[in-house]
Amino acid sequence: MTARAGGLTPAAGAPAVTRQNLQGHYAGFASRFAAYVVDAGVSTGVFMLGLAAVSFAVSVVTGKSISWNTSDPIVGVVFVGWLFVYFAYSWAASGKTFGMALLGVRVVRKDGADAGARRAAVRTLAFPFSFLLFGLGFLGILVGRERRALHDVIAGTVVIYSWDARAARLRFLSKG
Amino acid sequence: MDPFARLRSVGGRLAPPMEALAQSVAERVVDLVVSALDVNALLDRVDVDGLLDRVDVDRVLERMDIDALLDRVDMDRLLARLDLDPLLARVDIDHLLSAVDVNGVAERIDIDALMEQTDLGAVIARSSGGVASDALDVVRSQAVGLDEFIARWVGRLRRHPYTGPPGPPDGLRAVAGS
Repeated sequence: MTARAGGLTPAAGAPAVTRQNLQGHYAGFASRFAAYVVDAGVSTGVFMLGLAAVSFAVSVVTGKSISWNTSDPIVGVVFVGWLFVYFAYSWAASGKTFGMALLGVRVVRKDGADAGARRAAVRTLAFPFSFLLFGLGFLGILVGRERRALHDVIAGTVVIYSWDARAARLRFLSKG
Repeated sequence: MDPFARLRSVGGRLAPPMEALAQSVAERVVDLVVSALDVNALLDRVDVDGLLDRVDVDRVLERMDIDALLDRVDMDRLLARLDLDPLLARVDIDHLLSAVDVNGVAERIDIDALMEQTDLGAVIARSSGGVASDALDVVRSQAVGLDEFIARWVGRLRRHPYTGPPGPPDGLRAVAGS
């Protein structure tokens, strides 16, 4: 039996760049944006689930039902606090959020060391600034040599690929 | 009657004793000469370098039938007489391996071709993860492909040719190179 029996294999759809081990190289815009979309969905979903759980608990204990108004400033403040915890804790603990783990990217210090709690917190606080002026802060990911957004520059961090593309390609090839 | 017949008869009888006498005299003379010769002194006077200079080795080799020579060599017997253990004991394997550029050798291997011709792929498939891992690989590969697509277009717009994903940071060069 040979590894590839012929015909179209999954490897045929894989980009040529995955012939290299991308581990440690600066991550590109699409991977980072996709990770952010996943994180936005997950963090919002978990927050809504949390609100529903609180409503359920209150109704069980007091017998009164609570309906949350998402335009309520208190809910907004709690949501922002939750986002801070979600992103800052994830970056401090492992350098990656759920979405980043899914896309195989990771936040590290500019020299490649772990980001650490302080940089993770600064990065989280600086993150909204990148959205200002129609997302001009993200332009650095497209044109910068180190693919750094504004919040990366402020926090002294970079985002790198953390998965071994070459090993994945070998797995692709082996299942053709 | 032939007048010389008697003479030839006498000569025929005398020839063998004369030859024997001549041979014994010659042997005795050679013994005396050899014993009188100082062979070392004689060899000292021989200009070996000059002698060798006059030998046309190429011509000698041309006249030699190497194949016939090799045919006559019993390699099995020769190898049987070789004691390889002391030879191997003198080889410094660590030094030898340190001189080999393993990364260079690995880079010259065409992994794709290797995978196509061997069952290595099946081994990797068995040892790697399942459906979820495959799905992750697909998602990541597509995202990387999109990264490259965007980067190439940005490079064209900026008139800076795109040469591949940049990096890694200095602290991660060893990891990325492995």
